[in-house]
Amino acid sequence: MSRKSPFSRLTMRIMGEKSSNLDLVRGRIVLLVSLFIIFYLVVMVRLVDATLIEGLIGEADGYVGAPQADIGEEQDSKFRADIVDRNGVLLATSLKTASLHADPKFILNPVETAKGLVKIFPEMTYGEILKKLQSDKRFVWVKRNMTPDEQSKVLQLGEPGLVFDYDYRRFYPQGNLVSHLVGYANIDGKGQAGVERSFNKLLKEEEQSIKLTIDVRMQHILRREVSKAMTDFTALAGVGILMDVNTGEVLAATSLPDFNPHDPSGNANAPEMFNRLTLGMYELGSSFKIFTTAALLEKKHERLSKKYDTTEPIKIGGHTIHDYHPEKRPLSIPEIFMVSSNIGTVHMAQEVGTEGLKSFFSDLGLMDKMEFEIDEVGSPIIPSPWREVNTLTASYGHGIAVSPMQLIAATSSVVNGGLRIHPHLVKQDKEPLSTTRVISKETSLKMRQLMRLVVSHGTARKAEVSGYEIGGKTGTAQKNVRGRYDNDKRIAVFVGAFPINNPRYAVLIMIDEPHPNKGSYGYATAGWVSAPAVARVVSSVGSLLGMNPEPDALDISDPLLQFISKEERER
Amino acid sequence: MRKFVLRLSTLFVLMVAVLSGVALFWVSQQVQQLERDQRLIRQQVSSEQEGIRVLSAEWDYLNRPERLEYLANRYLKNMERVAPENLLSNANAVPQKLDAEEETSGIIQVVAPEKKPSSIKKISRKVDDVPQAPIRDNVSAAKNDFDSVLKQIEAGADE
Repeated sequence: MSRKSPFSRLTMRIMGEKSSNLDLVRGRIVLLVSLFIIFYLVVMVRLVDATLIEGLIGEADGYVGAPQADIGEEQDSKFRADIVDRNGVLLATSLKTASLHADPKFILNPVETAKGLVKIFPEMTYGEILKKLQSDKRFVWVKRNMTPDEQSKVLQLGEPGLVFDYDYRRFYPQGNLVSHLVGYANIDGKGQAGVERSFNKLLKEEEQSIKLTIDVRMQHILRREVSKAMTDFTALAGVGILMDVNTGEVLAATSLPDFNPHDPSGNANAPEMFNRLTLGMYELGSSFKIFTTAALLEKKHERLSKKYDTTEPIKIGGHTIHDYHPEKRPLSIPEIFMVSSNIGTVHMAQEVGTEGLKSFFSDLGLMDKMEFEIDEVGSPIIPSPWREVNTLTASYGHGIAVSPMQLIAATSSVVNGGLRIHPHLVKQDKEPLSTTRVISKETSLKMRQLMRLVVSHGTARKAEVSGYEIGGKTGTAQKNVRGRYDNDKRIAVFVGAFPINNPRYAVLIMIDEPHPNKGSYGYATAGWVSAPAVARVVSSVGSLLGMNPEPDALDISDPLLQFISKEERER
Repeated sequence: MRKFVLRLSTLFVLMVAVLSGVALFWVSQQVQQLERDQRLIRQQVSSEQEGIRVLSAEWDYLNRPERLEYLANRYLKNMERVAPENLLSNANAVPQKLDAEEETSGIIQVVAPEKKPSSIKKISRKVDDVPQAPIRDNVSAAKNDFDSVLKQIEAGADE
C-alpha cells in the first residue's frame, strides 16, 4: 500500500484472494474511468464556456438570457410604434385597453348586471344590453376599448360572466392638430393616411418611435392663425406651412378643415379628409412671379433698372392679359414686382422664353411630382401641350397648378442663397445640406431685396413684423371652376421668408375662397387675408425659434427705392 | 470474508460526488426560483411600462398647446402673449427698480452688521426715488447682452 499521496494513482484496488485475476481487469477499468473523466471534462469545459465566458461577454452586449417571449406576442397584436414630434411630444401612441365581452351562460343575474352596465356606460340602453346578456350565444361584445376607470367599475360589479380582452388601440393625444400629416390607423391597426400609412410596416415591426420634424407648439400657432383667417373671411379652406429654408424641415404644416384621427370620416371625399398641403393642386397666381423674375435675373442678367412697357394689355390667341391696377406706363423690375403687374411679368417671360422658363420651373421642382414621406402627394397640373400662351400665363401663376408645399419649397430654394431643398417630414440625425445650385447667390440676394420691397412698400405691407424683417410675395388667383375663371372665387396666398437679410424660415399661408368682410373694405385679396395672418404667425413663433428681433436691422429693400417712382413710393 | 479497504482518496472522491450532486440540485432549484422571480419582474416591468405609456400619453394630452393657451387666457389674465417688442437682447434695457450696487450692499448689511453706516443710509432710499429708466435697446449688444451678464454672474459664483 503506497500512501505517498491519495492522488498518485487514481485507481481503486480491491484486495482479496482473486486479486491476481482482477489485476488483469484493472487495466480495462482504468481505460473506462479515464474515458468517463475525459467526457466529464468536456462537459465541464463547455459549461464554463456557456455560463462564464459567453454569459459575461453576452451580458456586456445587453443580452441576458433567452429573448423575451412577449416580443413575439406583440407582433401578433395591434401594437404600433409611437410617432413623436421633434421635441419628443407624442403625436400617436398605442395603449393597451380592455374590451368587455360576456358569456351569457355564466351571467348570474342579467337584470342587475344590465342595470350596472348602463350606469357605467350611459350611451348604452338598458333593453339592448339585457337582450344581449339573455341571448343563447356564448360570446357577445359589450363594449370595446374602455378606459381604466370604466374597467375598475365593471370589475366591481363582480359578475363572472363578464370577460375582459386586452389589445392595443391607437391614441392621438394632439387630436386634430397634426391629423393630415400623422394620418390615422383603422381599428385593425393598419395605417390609412399620412405617416401612419406610408410607414405602416416600420411602425408595426419596430419598437423604435418615428420622430417628425414638426413642433407641436408652432403647429398650434399656425393652425390657430389659419383658422382665424378662415373665420374672419368666411373661407372654405386654408393651408399653412412653416419650413426651414436651409434644410427643408417642415416645422409646421396645417391643412384646414382637418379631421379627428380617432373618428375619421368614412367618406374619403369629405372636405376634411383632403390633404391640401401636398395633394391639393392650385393655381397660385402672382406668387409665381418670384420664379419668373428669378429666371429673368438668372438667365438674362438684366439690370433691375430695366423698364418694361405696361401701357397696353397683351392679346394672344383670344386671351387678353390685364393688370388689376393698370399703371399705364413703363415700369422697372422692382416696380413690376412690387405692384404685381401681370403685363410686366409677361414681358419678362417673353424675354426668358418658353424653354428657359420651363427648365427653370423644372429645376425648382414645380413640374414634377414632389417626393415627400407621405403617400398623399399629387402631381402638378402642367399644360399639355405647352404653347406660347401657356408660358405667358404661367409667368403669373395661371394655367399651371402646384401644391402649396411645392411653392414654399421652390421659394425656399430661391431665398436661401440658391440651393435646391427638398421638404421632408421625418427628422434625420444630421440634416443634409443641399449642394444643388439652382440660382446664383447674387440672384438670390436680388430676389430677397425684391421680396422685402413687397412687404415694406408693396402689396403685403400687412405682413410686416417689426424686428423680424419678413419678405415675400402675395398671390390672388381666380379659381378655375369647370374651365371658367370665377371672379368671386379666389385663392389668396402669401409666401415669404424671415429674416429676409439671411433667411432661416419660410412661411406660407393660403386661404381658399375668402370673402370680403367689414374690416377689409370689400377686399379679399392676399394682402388683406393671408399677409396679416403671416404677420401674426411670425410674431408668435419668433420667440419659440429663439430669434432675436432686430428692429434696427438694415432694410435690404432700401437700395431698390431709386427704381421706384415717387408717387408709388408714397402710396 | 472479503476485505474492503476504503482509501482516503476514494472517500474524498465520493464526498466530492455527493457534494456536487447536492450543489447541482441546489443550483437548479435556485435557477428555477430565479426564473419564477424573473417572470414576475418581467410582468411587473411590462405592466409598469404600460402604465408609463398611459401616463405619458395623458401628460401630452393635458399639455396640448391648445389647452395650455386656454388655461393661460383664463387664469393668467394680466399676462399677455410674448410679442417681438417684449424680447430684449440687452440687459441694460430692462428697467431697474433697485440698482445692483445698492442691492449688494444690502446683502452685506445683513451678513455683517458692523459695516459702516453709509450703506444703511443708501438702503433707506425709497424705491420710488430711483428714476424709472425708459426701455432702451440700442446699447451695443455685444457688451451688455444677457449671455455676458450670465457669464459674469457665473464667474462671480465660482470665486
